[in-house]
Amino acid sequence: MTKELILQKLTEIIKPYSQNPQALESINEKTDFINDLKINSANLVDVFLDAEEVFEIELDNSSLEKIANIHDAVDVIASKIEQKNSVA
Amino acid sequence: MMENQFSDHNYWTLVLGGSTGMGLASAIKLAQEGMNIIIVHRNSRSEMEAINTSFQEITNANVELISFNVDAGNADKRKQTISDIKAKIGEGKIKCMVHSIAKGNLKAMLDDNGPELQKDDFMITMEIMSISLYEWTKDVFKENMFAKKASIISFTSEGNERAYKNYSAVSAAKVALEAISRNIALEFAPHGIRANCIQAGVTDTHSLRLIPGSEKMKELAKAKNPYGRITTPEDVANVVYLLCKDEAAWINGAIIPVDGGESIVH
Repeated sequence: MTKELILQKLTEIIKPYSQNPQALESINEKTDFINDLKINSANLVDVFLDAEEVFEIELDNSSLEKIANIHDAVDVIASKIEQKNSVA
Repeated sequence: MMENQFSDHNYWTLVLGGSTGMGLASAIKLAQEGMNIIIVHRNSRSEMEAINTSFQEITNANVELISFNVDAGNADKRKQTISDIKAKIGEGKIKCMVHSIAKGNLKAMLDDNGPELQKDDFMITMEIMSISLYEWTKDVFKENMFAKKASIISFTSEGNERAYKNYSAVSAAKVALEAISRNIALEFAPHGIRANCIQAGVTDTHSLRLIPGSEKMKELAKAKNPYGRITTPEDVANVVYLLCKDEAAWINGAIIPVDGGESIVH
């Protein structure tokens, strides 16, 4: 899966949780989940639970800790997909 | 053989938030008493191994278990889940619904070192921890899935009357939960449904451990509890079981302390 496609799917996941439609419109690698997208901290976990389902991957706590912005999230998701495919 | 109020009728309990803590303990206890179990929970894939082990305690009791890993606060998911349950168990079989959803914000109103509590923190916490009780009750009722005599149980805490730092959104949610439970008790009584809140003492669950200062809370609770220990999820589950029995039919709209007497001591 290309990073563009990951970002596209991730944006769909984020949509119901983001309280800032403008940041969602102009979403890019530097977009921050809490400060830009205004995702409530209680809902941040939902974004990643939904991502596990959509991308069929497992996001362990240690990889989640590395995520602050979209760039990190796409990176982690891409590497998890790659891991899954190489195992399968 | 003695009659079993649950298994003789092929009754089911629906537990919202049943993968850990009081929800899970209630599911296990009721399963051991002959109730089939439906669990709605929300967990990451890495948590599933431990949860599946816990679920074995339910299936070991020789009852049926259906589980859904979905967001109970999402309206579309709720409707889909209820329709899936109905396809499996039909109408008139849900004897008990246990609401044990814990998800919310634990920010302080004032905080020099981090984000402070905002309006959306209150809204999100109350939506999932209180209003969802009404939404699930209403939808399950509209689908005619409750048994002729059914029991709805939700979990409140001493935060309903006391203030703890970081706990204001959850405190507000607990008070709202109690109010909603009372109105369910009033308006659904003609349909054989009763609703009660269990006010557990301080209980060592995953949700408690997320509260800043929870270690201190446990120590204080243990020191003041007449029995010298804190409440366990199993203490709470035992009372959930009692409230499901037809003999508890006249308990309706109550807030019941289940704390070994912790709340009578100041």
